[in-house]
Amino acid sequence: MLKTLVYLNADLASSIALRYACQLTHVIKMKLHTVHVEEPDHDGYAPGTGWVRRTWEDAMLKTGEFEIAQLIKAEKSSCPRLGPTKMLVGDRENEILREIQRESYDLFVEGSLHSFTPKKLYDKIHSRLYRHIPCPVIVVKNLVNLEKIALIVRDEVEYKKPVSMFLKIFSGAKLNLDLIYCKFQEPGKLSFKGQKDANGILNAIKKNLIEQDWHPEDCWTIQGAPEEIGDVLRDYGMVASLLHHSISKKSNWFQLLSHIPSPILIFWQ
Amino acid sequence: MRILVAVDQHPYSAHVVKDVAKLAGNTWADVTLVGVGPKMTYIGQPSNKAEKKHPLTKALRNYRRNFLDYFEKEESPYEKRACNYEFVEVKRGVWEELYICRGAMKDLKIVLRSGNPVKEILAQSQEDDSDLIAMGCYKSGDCQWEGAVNIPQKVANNAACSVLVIKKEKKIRKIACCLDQENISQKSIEMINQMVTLYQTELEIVGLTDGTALKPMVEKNLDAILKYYNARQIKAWIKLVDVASMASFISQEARRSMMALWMGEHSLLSKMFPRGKVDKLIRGSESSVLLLR
Amino acid sequence: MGDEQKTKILILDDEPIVLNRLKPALEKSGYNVEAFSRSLEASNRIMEQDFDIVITDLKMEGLDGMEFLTQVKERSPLTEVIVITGFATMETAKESFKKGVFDFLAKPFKLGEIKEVVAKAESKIRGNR
Repeated sequence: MLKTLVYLNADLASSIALRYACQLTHVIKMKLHTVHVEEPDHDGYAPGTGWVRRTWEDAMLKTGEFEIAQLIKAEKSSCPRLGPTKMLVGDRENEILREIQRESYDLFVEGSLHSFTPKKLYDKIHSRLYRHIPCPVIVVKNLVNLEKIALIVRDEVEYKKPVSMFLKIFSGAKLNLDLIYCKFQEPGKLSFKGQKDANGILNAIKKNLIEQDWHPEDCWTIQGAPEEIGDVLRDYGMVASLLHHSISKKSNWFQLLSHIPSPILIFWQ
Repeated sequence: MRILVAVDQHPYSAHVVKDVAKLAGNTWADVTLVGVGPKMTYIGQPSNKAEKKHPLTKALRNYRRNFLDYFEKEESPYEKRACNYEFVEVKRGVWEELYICRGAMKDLKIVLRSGNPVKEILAQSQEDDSDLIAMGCYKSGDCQWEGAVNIPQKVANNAACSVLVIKKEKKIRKIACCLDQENISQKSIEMINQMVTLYQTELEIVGLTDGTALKPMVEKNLDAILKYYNARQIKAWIKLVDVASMASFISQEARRSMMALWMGEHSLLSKMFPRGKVDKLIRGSESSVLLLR
Repeated sequence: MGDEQKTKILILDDEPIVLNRLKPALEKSGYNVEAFSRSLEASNRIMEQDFDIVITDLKMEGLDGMEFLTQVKERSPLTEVIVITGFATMETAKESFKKGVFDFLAKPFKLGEIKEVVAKAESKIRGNR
């Protein structure tokens, strides 16, 4: 059973992420754990040491605890078996990272609403948390139905890695999977190719998955500008991709990920 | 719901009538088709010949016929119903069986007005107490309307009710709804709902940010809207847009989505979109534009 | 006029804002109004009591308004039903009329519009009595 950590804040992005993660538990065997980090003021000020410090931390936690309890209460109907949220104080990224390493989580889920400008996602991917995170991440941008998922690939990847990572998470899952090969070109020329014209990497991944008893529903190639492909991929309940931390903001692959409005599952390269 | 359809003799008006007929088919709205021409003192005089001379009268009658053709006669709410004997309470406790010829269930009227098109369209919408003014416009460039420029923009800027400027276009995939989330009126949500149903499309709810985060009230409202649509099985997406990127978002989105902007009195969008920009949006958009009030 | 003589109206809509607007407006016009946002409660109520007019939404969270409309007509064929809907389609309009609704109003509507329709339904009911 997968150990999944969902980060919660008292905001819309977290409530969507929590609802989505609860949906995931219906298709993947996983146990959800939730965490919230109460951060000191932005200037990093934390008063005193010893009793003073502890009292201050306790007061902060109480406020945060109440807000998170409200959020959990609101989502209780979609997630009836959710346990209590772990409350931590400190730097958000450091604390989450420590928690993931301490408890050896298999998957990290957090909400980040879909944004017109790619900067938000770019900053996230290049954050300390994501650069050091040892497990795959789902960034929940919107709340969608999890009926069908897509694994997107491009040429310059070693195909066995995404397949093994995919299988680690989705082994035994009841989901329809499409394998999609993305090729970029200038806008206005969006085109699709079916299974018959699938290229080598697509066929290799398919073969690899079938060997592991995972039968993709469809394999196809899509050619277009990142925003056009992103728009097509909105029909999926999750889009999984392999990604390197050093990806540049201007690269087509990053532009594509930022244009996909559905949740994205990132396997780190 | 009451819809005012402002028409002229350009082909886009025929397209508007077709779209409004579909909307009316769904909603059974009361509909007025209004045409505005120059001074027409001869209309209504005993000699019908003079009336027929005006090309707008002919166009209006054609539009009415096209509108009615959308409906099967026996199912149309705009067809007059048969006459029957019915008991009617003529005074308290006294009933008389009268031969009653009932009118259609819903109104469809055609009105010809003369004068300044903007003023006359707005006057008609006020008289009808319309919920929506629908009018057409070319896909790009200036909206030439009966020879005058930017009539739809001027109507959109000055109307008290919502205005839908329809452009002849390919299928709408999405309605991008730039609601002013701090002041959402029930009426504007209801108008969007009818549009979502009419065009069988997805909804994108655009939340404005100051570049960092959403205001708590905006976020609360976005959550409420999202839950509202999820409960009704309508696919609704959220997209955050920085105020600074709003203009580029709209110019990009207007290519493939119907744009819906909430432009109420206290709306942030109405401050961000002064009249000149609304003009530009309507003129530059390849898709239809809905201004909500 | 005593409460028992007043025209009895039941409103069902899962949007409280609609109920909050409609109920007082119709009460002010002299009707005896009961408003429900939950279908089950409204269904139970129509089993206990016949209403002269029922105003119902069609698309509600977890409930098909068309089913409620059928229940109303089966239980009390003389009840006039007015459908108010935020997601109107040609099919729902047609089906509503096949099931014998008195009128079909799409949202947004003005209070004056629904009051007018209610008055017409009331006049029809009095004519039939």
